[in-house]
Amino acid sequence: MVRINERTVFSFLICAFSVVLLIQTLEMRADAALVPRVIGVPLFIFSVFQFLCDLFPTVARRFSFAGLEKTGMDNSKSEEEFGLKGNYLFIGWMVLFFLLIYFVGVIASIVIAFFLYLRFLAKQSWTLSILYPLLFALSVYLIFVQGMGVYYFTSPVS
Amino acid sequence: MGLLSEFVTLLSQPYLMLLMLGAVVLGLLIGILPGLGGSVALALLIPLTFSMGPDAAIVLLISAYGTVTYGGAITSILLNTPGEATAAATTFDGYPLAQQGKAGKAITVAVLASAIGGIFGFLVLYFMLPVARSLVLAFTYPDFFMLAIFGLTVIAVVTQGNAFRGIISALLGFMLAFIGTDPLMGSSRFTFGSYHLWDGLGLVPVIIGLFAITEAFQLYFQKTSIAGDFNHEIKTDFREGLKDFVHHRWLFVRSSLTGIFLGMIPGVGGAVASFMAYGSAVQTSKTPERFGKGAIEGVLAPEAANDAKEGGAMLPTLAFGIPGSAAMAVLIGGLIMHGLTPGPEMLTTNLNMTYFIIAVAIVSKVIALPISLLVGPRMAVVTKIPGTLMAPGIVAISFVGAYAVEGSFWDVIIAFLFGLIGIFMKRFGYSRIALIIALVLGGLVEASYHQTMAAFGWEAFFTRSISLTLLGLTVLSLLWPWLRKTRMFKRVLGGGHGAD
Repeated sequence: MVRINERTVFSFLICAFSVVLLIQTLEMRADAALVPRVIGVPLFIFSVFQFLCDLFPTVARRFSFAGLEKTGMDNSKSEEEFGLKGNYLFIGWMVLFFLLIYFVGVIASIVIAFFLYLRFLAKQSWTLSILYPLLFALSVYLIFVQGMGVYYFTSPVS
Repeated sequence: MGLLSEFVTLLSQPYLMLLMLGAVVLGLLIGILPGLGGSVALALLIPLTFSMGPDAAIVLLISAYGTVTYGGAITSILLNTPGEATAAATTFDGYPLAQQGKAGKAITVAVLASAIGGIFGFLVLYFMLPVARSLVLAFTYPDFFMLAIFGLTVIAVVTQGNAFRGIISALLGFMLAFIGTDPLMGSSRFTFGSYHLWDGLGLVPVIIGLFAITEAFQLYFQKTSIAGDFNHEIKTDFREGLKDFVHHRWLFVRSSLTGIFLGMIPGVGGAVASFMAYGSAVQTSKTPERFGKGAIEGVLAPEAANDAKEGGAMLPTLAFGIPGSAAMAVLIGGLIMHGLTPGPEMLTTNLNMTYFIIAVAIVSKVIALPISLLVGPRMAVVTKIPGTLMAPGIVAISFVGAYAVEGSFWDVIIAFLFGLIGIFMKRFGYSRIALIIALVLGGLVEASYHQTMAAFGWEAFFTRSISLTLLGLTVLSLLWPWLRKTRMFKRVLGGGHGAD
């Protein structure tokens, strides 16, 4: 049985990243590539193994050390606790915020992104959705632009 | 004398003292907010220091970081909710004490233990500096190489439930550290044709992404506030708390020493220190049945250990440039930004700066004591803010902070990408701590490898006593997860309770 989910995709990406870096070392001078190769080869082997464990649950059961046991210190929550839709809504909002910073500048992007988040994602009242962004943007303006002299916050990069 | 003159330097500058006051309040607030610990506090504050000099930056970062634990203790006692894992042990007896109407006493003892434990830890660090200096001077390239590898393997194996994915994270961090120019000829590596990557990945945006944005993501799902109804008009009873503290002074000393010792070991963070101190307090008590029901020793021991470990953790960070925890890795990022490279130089040419760090840590602990007692319980009201409202603020501060450091939009992209990577690493049990520490250590490992090969040849890794010892310890730490599962080892350890 094959299991394809976010975990599998993530371990595949690590695996693919290690392959890309290893291929790049082929174009480097031998001495500059030595240490990255020494590190990259085990990374590739381990990440392929992790990917296979994530892809095939039967393999994961046989090799419990790479399996799905709960993590310790990192306080990870189980995948079920995060709704898929909720995950990507928040990530989507971050992408929007990030693009707004590029196109309209930091201060304006805070006002717009916060308002959209509070009103439509967090379903807050109109009052809070307007006051919170304005106060936050004002604080950032006072601290960074006025206090620290950061000139590039008020105008768009483009 | 060096330390005394740094105390004078610090206390004679009103600007620095005012900054410290603000940082203490900020640290207390961050500590009270659920999910935000010392590493997040540092990650969010580093961008604020970019226009400051090294002295002011150290004051802001060290003072805020040192006070975060106070806030965690307050919410543990009042709300049964630790701000982060390091304060979890305090809830066992702190919350029962609050339910019995003794919250004021519990907070006083917790804050006293934190403050005096922290000061004790930094004084021990000060007295250990001469020893550390002679040890550092005995180290040469192969030893630094082995020390970095050893520190990282311990972190990869110990700090995470899944050692295998911890090792993958560490290896990934190393590969990311190699992005930029190679140390031998300066030719570009893994830059994918982008000039933004010529200097490698910026440590600050990576840290902001991995820690702050990841925490914001978690807060987004916390739709309700963690605080129910609680009395935030609690009056702390200093005299009563001091009496209890003096009464249990030997437990305090024992717990602090436990914290200092564990702090020096890479990867063994404050959570392990506070739980071990709590366990030791239970084992050595004549009335262990009182624990879990409101024993004041159950508050004192973990808080003393948790703060004392900071002095211990600072030793490998400053002396060898080996961060023992995520927060120390973040601190290294902040110090590097201000032209201070942790490592042997901090004990030789920059020794005064090391003394200054110790002086700042001690003075900030003293200042944080009355502030925490007076306004701490009232500030716990911020826990009524639902996580879903805090999340956009943290994302905004993260993006703004990443952008502010150098005014490069590229840093915002890096913060955002590593925020996404951190979210999935956390969910799937990869160690963000191992990744960030490997990213910090990657340069040291590669440079010391090439220096060893040029100066001594590969035999040096196996013939020098320090390298050989560290190599043995590295192998042992890698085998540790499997060793502790073996029956024989369990018998030796008396039931298999390892250092984890």
